[in-house]
Amino acid sequence: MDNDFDFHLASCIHDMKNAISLILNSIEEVTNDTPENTKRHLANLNYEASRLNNDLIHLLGVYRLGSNHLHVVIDEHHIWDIVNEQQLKNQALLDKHNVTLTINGDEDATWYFDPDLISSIINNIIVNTVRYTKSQIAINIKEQNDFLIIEICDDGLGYPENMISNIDKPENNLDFRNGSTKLGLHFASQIAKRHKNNDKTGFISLRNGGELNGGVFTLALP
Amino acid sequence: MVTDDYRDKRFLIIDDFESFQQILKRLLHDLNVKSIDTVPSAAKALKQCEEHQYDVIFCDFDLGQGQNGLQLMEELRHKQLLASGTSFIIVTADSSRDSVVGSLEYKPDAYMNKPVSSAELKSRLIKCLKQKNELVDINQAIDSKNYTQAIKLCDEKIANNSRQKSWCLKTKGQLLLQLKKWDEAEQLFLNVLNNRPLFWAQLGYADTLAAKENYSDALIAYQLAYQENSASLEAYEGAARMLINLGNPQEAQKILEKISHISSRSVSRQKLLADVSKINGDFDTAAKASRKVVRLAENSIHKSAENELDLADSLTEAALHSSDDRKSKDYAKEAISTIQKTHRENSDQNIKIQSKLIESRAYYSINDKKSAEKSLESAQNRLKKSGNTSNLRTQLELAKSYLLSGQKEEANALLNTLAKQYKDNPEISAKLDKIVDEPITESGKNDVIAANKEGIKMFEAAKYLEAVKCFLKATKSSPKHIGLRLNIIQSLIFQMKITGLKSEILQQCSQHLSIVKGIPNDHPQYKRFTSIKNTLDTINKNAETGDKNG
Repeated sequence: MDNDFDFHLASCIHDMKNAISLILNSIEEVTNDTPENTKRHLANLNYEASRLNNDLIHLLGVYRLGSNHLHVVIDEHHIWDIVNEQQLKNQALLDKHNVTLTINGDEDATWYFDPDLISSIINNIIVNTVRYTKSQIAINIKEQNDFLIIEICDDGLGYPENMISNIDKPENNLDFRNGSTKLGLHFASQIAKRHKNNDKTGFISLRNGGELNGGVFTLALP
Repeated sequence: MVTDDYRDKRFLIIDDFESFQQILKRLLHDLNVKSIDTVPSAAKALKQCEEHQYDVIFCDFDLGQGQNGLQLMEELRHKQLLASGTSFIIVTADSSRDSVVGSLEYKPDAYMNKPVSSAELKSRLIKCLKQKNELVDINQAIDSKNYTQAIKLCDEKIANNSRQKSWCLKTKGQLLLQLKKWDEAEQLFLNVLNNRPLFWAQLGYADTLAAKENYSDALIAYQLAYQENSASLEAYEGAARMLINLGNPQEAQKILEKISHISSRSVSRQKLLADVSKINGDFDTAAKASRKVVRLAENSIHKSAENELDLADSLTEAALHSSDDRKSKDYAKEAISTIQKTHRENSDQNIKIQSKLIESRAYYSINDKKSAEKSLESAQNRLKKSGNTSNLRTQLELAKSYLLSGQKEEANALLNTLAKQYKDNPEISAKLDKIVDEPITESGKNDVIAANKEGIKMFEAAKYLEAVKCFLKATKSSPKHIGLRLNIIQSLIFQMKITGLKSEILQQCSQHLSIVKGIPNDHPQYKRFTSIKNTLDTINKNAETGDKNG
């Protein structure tokens, strides 16, 4: 029964993701020969479709977390490459919103994590931040006290106070920045917690300020 | 030197959606790729790869009907249609990998998630080609089975702190295992584990311990491995194998049944499940698992007539051991139709002979002696005509059919010849002992003697469950041994004198009994068999009335 449901849910989401992929690729294709005023609409379309894509990943992920079918496999990977790929995945979205993204960190540094799950967390935060930043996003990668720290900073208005204090309680946190998804943060927090090393456990946090004086999302992996 | 000049490189795109083929094709065109082929299915991709050598292959994971992307890759590598310089990239819509098929000997060079953007594609392609380029010497050495050279090259990269260091370390570990350098392998895995409990090192460590026949430590290591990666079929299968070696085939079967959700498509898991459930006397499960093997192997490199023969054999065993006549008949019917299809569809003489031999046993299982003898005769005629070309399996099937038809002397003569012929081959010797109720090989005999000695000692010390474990250890090599099974049942009955009746233990008793239920009445253990059977019947009857009254 559980297996059946998982199968149907997975194939349904698979199908939806295929459709969204087609939409996103079509948007990328038509953007170049579009007049300036239409480009803005396309940018919104791109943003919403990317969000749908992430929501579907999170929906399936959270369901699998609950049924213990989500497998976290930790190995050594180049973190800069992973972050860079998420930037490249969203390059069209960033361009259309006139947001510049810079990555600061050692290109050859490795760390221990599940690359698919961490990619999807970073991708989700980038897509959300594009909407709320003014013009810049900075992603800082560094090692600190036996943790890998990934900070995603923006120059927007920052995260609302109740969201910062309730990051681990998605039920108290129905509005993710004006009604957007809370699922993403819940998922990110769950994935971070499943990264353990000896007595240390991964976590996420939100704060305001940082180098761009906006919101700062932090992912810490032991 | 790797550049982003793709003009002389040949690309293949495999996707069942034409619109995705077009998107990827356009993205590649933008990168100045000149030669791109597109196909919608695994079958067409196979054909294409027979004719051309590709530098880069993009393959959708879900290809609709037939093979999926990973099965296709496995087949391409198996048929040596992929050069060591070819990059195989799996493209998938679902970002999680747990829908993939069980254990893979070969892994793709990269995964990409849809939607693929143009900038991402460009970066991935460069990265992938760079990696291929850096590892080309090692891969070539591995392809030509020059493992020592491959290890040397890995060591250089590890010493240079290359970006591929982690890959080289993993590869070196696997190569050391291939070369049976257990101590060096163990050291490598332990060094990694000292720093982090990484899954691949944990699994490698477990494999090393298993190879060194340190089964109890290997079991713990496999358990730690699947705690680290709960999707790893290799780790669960390893644990199950260790449990069989340690005399706990019941627990092994439980593990294999529990993980059906991880990889319901794995052929190796179903094969192992069929084997272990036969040891446990659970012939229904063995038949089910064998059916799945045939179905799952359909689209893969695992497809072979052997699987169909195994299925017919499992069904025949189920028919022989079932206490329900209708069920027996159904099993026999299915066995006969399966084997006749195999006989029709294969021209290989050995397979035709084996089919007839199994068919004869299927008829015996429902007491159709006339048809059974006819099939056996037909097999023997073919054997004569084919001269001396019969292979090992044919001879084993012949011995089994002799045994069932009551031609004990012929069977023993044949098996003794084989035992002599293969006395230095433990793998084949083990197959011989599995057929008969008393082991033929020296090592099989010694196993049974040792297990009995140890088991009886435990029994006399009233440690009945320990005794069962000792006897069970030997059932791995001699699953049909009558004395062992009776010893197990007797120990279980004594255990219930302490703990009271337990339905789980009663079920185990009847499974063990069903394995030996074909015992001929002139067998030296026959009297003991009837007495134990009567005791069990009485216990079962009392348990039933107890249930009703309770």
